[in-house]
Amino acid sequence: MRSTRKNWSHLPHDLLLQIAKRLGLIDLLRFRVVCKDFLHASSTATGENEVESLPWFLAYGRRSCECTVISYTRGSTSTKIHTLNLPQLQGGAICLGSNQGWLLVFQRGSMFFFCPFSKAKIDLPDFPCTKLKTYHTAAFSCPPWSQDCIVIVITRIDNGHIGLYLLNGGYNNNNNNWISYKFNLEKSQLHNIEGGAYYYGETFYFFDSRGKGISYSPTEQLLKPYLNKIRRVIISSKDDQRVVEIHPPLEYSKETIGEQANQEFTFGFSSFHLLSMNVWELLGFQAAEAEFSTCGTLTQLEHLQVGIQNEKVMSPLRPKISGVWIHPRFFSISAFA
Amino acid sequence: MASSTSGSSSSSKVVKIRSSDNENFEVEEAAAARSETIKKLLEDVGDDADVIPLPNVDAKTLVKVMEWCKKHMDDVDELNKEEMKTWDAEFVDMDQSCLYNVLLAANFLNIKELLDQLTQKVADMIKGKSPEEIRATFNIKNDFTPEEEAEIRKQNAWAFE
Repeated sequence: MRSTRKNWSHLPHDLLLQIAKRLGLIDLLRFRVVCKDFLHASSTATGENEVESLPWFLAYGRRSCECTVISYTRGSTSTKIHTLNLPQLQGGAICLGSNQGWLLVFQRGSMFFFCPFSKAKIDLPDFPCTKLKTYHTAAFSCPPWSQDCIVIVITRIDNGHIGLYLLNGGYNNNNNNWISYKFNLEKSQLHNIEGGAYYYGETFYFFDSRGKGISYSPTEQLLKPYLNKIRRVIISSKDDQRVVEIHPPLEYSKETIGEQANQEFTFGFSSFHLLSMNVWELLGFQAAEAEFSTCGTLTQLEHLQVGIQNEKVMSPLRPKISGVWIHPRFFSISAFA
Repeated sequence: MASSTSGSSSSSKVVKIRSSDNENFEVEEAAAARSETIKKLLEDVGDDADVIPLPNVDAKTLVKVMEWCKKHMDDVDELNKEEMKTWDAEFVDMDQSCLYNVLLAANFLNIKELLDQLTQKVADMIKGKSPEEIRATFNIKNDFTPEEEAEIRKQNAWAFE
């Protein structure tokens, strides 16, 4: 072979894709601009890179369509602030759920999946109500274009009942509409469901802000109290490093860590993630100088499934900021659907 | 380049492979079989195999790939893992033209672990670079029209700031 410099755009597309799949979101977006071969070869790369990236914070819903994103990495405490124009999240949109880079957004009765980094939007059937009078939260199995995708929105209706709205993309293809259920469940068993909603291991989990929870298995159609314990996860910064404390600590043995974590505990909770991740300061506020309402997501830290909890921080002061924790991913609909 | 025969265990079987520029190599079967492509060819021809031709891989590249295969011939125990990691890191640290050839060879020969290491190496070289820097590093011609490029950049202007 000649020793002239190789033209890397001539690599087979499956090799280029394997390279692109190892890049995080920002590097992937830059990769796509290099040349046509790089762009086309990488269409199914999503920027998924759990080794390096932590969920980012997206602040939305102010009057303009300008949204602020804070990007975080695992390796260091350095962060970056980006500005994105997202008209899709304007006009009273509320993120009810966030999973693996997709947001579930409610907007005046319409419901859609949205990937803010690719702007991919997938419309769902209209939600049974046009206005959410109580606190609603949601979880969904991924990916949304899959036939098996299940979405569950949950709310407390009154002191004795909770409401559950289920959208089944899979088995019920012809009858693809929201099905609503009402369950008897006292507030003492599960308060207002403001803690978070997660999907993990074929099961949905819903928590109140006091750490009580229920699980719902769509295959068994069974609602059960969540009896496992929950680890506390505290994230802080020290010497430019992010420090993760887990209480009680995981007993370390690399092979069994997954099982051990699952025996008595399914999750760890990061309850004050806004504070842990320095969101106040990064957005230029003193603590309690703004009102926050955020939607959490599920992530993995130190081999533990960690639920970033939904947060509601009240303040008499403006502005009122809506935010969501989101995995930085890129989904181009044409490549997947 | 001389044939590289393994001088170690006399009991291990040796296979012959031939590069695209017609050089013959003798390699321990256990090493050569790290390549799914060679393994399959060996199974197909059985013991009748004389020389296995590899028309897509030149001698220089084949030597490099077989160096990796020999090192990864046996399962590594826990103690040697760190040492192996260092060896692998040094192995993929090669000049770009070589990296390109070894990458293509690992793909053709279907050596998954080596392919993982090489694609990771290329990804690491891309990380943190602007599109212009990536083009310069990898000798890539920008074949977008200015309008096309501007359009793609516009979709995610924030990532280029």
